[in-house]
Amino acid sequence: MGKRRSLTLMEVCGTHTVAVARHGLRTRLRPGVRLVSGPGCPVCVTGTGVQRQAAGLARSRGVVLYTYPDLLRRPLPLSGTPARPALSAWQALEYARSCPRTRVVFFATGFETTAATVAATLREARSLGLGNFHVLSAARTILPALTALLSSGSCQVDGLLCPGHVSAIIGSIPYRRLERFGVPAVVAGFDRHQLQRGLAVLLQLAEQGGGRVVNAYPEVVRPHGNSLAQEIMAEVFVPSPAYWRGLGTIEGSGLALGPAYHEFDALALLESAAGEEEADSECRCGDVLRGALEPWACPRFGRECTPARPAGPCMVSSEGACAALYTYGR
Amino acid sequence: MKRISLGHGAGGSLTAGLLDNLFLPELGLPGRAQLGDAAWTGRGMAFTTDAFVVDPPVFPGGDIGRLALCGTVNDLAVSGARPLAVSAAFILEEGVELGLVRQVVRSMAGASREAGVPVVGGDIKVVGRRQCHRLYVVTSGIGRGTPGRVRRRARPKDKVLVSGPVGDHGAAVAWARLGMPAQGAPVSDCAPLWEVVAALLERCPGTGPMRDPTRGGLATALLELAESSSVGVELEEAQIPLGSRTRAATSVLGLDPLYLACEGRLVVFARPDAVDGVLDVLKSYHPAAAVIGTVTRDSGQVLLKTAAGGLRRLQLETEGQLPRIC
Repeated sequence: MGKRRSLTLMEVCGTHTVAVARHGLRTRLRPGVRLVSGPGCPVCVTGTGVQRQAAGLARSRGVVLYTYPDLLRRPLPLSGTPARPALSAWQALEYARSCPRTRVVFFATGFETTAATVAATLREARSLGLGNFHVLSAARTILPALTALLSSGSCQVDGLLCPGHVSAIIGSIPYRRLERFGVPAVVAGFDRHQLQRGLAVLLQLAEQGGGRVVNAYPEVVRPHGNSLAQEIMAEVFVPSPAYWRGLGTIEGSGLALGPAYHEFDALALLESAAGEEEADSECRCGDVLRGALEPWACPRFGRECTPARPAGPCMVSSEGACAALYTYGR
Repeated sequence: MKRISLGHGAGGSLTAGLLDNLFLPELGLPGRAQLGDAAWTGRGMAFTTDAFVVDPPVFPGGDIGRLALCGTVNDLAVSGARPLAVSAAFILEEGVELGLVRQVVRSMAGASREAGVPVVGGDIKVVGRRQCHRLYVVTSGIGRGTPGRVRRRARPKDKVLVSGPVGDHGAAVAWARLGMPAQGAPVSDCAPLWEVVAALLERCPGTGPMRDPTRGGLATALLELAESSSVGVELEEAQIPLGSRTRAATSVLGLDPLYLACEGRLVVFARPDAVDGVLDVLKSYHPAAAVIGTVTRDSGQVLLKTAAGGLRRLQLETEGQLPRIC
């Protein structure tokens, strides 16, 4: 065998980012192998435009807005508003049932894993005939983003470590769409054994090169995923364009409420259309999310940007690449 | 305007900053490195005080009453002082159920008998609805002992021991707070520690330093000790005892058990020649007691050799994973 080439592997999912850092797995990779984070941290990729819309709703009279706790942290638009934390859309639905005269909005971010639960909640809201429950959806799907990332050529990736939880919903087969890029994709779980297994398989495939999909988390992920969850999501959502920090607007990557659920769409409560995405010229989070910049190479990392005083979303979210590396070390 | 955040109470770097920049200089106290869990006030007397705001006030394995008694007794114990008496002040929210107050006081009384330390006085205050959350408890305690009987500083090559599984209290409170199912719930380790400390002082003289790794957990206790002793610590993750319920709960909740509070565990530093004796004593109180690491010369550095074979440098948390843990 000749000299082993240097490889860049991307862990797509924020939970993997945290687990890799926590188990110190970077220190176990052979020299020349780099592990970069991808666009799989929900708070990190959600644009400020829709967050400002949510903040506007949260400040409206007669509206109670719930969302995932990470989105309420400084300096994100929802911090300082009366928005309330919820661990699931279900919590907001229960509040809507108990206070029929209050308009309750759930601001949904995240990928298929959480989107499936939001869809199930909406289905329940419809069967209950709840007129005061709404969802502002910034939910999204991971495959269009990975496709955009790989076709843009802005980041040289030799292998993808794919998210276990998302794959429990969508299955491992859809990743075959990425085979044409010649980059292997391995679905992995989250404890150290599962993660080590996933990384070992990915490294081996990446050394060989070529696009292949391997499910290294078969105890949870089935080839075709969770058909019930897929069915509910197909009933509730339709694909829509969505803005991703670092990647821009990607066609078909968002999950908007479909016609059958129009009455639950919080977009109808908004006075204006989505705000402009404001580009923070100094924030490099977009580059981090593309795997183009390692967190510690950002001039703000650990200086004016720390978990206590985050400047950018990758440091705000506990699943952000910057927060994980700051907390657990390189 | 700068304001207090929940992170200022988490025992991590924000708390340290608040002490260094506000409380210690305003009160004319020495630097953080010289502060122990209790203060020696002369004539062999030690004094300590602690406030408890845990949410929820009742959790598997204990409640705020037992916690407040044990917390204060343990701060004295790890300083090497035999706890003599405790006082307890209760701050009650208007409207809080009398049954809850009785349960908490009764369990404080039970813990006081268990520890052999009487509650000799206290105070009751009531505030209006929403001016506090249900009930808070403040306990103070005095103890007697010989300052320096527990060794103050760790030295390179010392071994680090822990007296049982870590993170149980924090995991139990987190689990209960989120309303997770009672089946399989982690159970708080909340318990008085004087007995095991007394056995260590008697059978293994010169042992120490000791800590009860409460807020901020094992990692924070070791980081503070490494800083105050100007040494480093290398930990073996595979040797750190972790209960199966706490392991499962922290994995579900995404918490790091190394940073979760213990309320009935000791971290003990022992000289290499004294390790076996210390371990024997600890094991006679909990079979899971273990040697988990070694002291190094890398001042302030706490390195974790992970079970996956990786290396991780532990750092003070900024915000803490969970506010209102004790």
